Amino acid sequence: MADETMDEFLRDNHDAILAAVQDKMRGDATMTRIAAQRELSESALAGQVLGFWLEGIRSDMTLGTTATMQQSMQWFVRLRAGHDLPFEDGMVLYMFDEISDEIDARIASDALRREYAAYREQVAALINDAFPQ
Amino acid sequence: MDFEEYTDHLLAGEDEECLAAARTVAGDLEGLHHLYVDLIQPAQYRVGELWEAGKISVAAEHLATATNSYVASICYAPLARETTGGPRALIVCTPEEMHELGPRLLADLLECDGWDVDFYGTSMPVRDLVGAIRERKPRFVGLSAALVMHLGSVKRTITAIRDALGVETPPIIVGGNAYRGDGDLWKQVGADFYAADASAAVEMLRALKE
Repeated sequence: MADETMDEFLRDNHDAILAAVQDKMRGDATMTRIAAQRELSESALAGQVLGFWLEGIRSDMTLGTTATMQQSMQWFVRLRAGHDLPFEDGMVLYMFDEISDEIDARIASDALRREYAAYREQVAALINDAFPQ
Repeated sequence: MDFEEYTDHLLAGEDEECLAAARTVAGDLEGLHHLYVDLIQPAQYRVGELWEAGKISVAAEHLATATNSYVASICYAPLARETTGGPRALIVCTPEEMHELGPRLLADLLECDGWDVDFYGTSMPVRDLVGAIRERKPRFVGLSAALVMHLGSVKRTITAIRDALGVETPPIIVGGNAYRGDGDLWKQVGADFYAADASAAVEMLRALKE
């Protein structure tokens, strides 16, 4: 376990993290609104959105950058405007925090926890730039 | 016809107008490069931007992509050549990637340049990709990614190839829309080369033909 990388951790814990966050967010008013607008079930929407976040986070951790989140934030801004998606600025950081709390709770090694904490701080700054609170 | 007018025809579902415009351009190999790089590629990017902006539906986006694929296949066919015995190239999308038009265009242009191309399309498991490289012994591997979130997968794929094949690993070139936002991302995935479009890739890869 000592040599486990964040990439491996996220690969091995993907389903459990996704299920846990999906559970916490069940009934969230914003997700319910967006699901209705997109004519999706709430669980299908949550699965898509959370899957997107987790894939992006894993891609960044594999590369050792924040490039995916950087581009994704710009994309979210354009997508929200283009498709009239009914979510507030604060929703983006809220989702990232929920996912990050779940990741943090499952990390067993201090080295990985530090690595993720540094990444989390950088991404939070990107989110605050794109979606000011 | 410029790519904006071409895109208008694409989005109007006017495949015959697209084909007619393409045929006037792609009468020879130079024209085929022009069609792929100056009409089809920017039209695809424009279609993606219009979807993002909520100006077209997913259906229109898919129709445009299918029309581009149809136009490319018709214009490529008369220029296709016998390449058996030529140096082998292996072109594939990174495992999670579902956008295959870009690498398909590259495969066409490489065939026209004398390469014997194995094009594997989408959803290729890494283990099978390693097996194909081992068996087919390509002169290089081309890995395509359209979405930035797939770059981690590109790096994992390249690492798996290098771990499995060691010094036998052929050069690996990457390309696709995922790299457009940051000029250095291709280095971070561990590739040997990057090309911004199919023509640039063909030119760059000539050095590996000798």
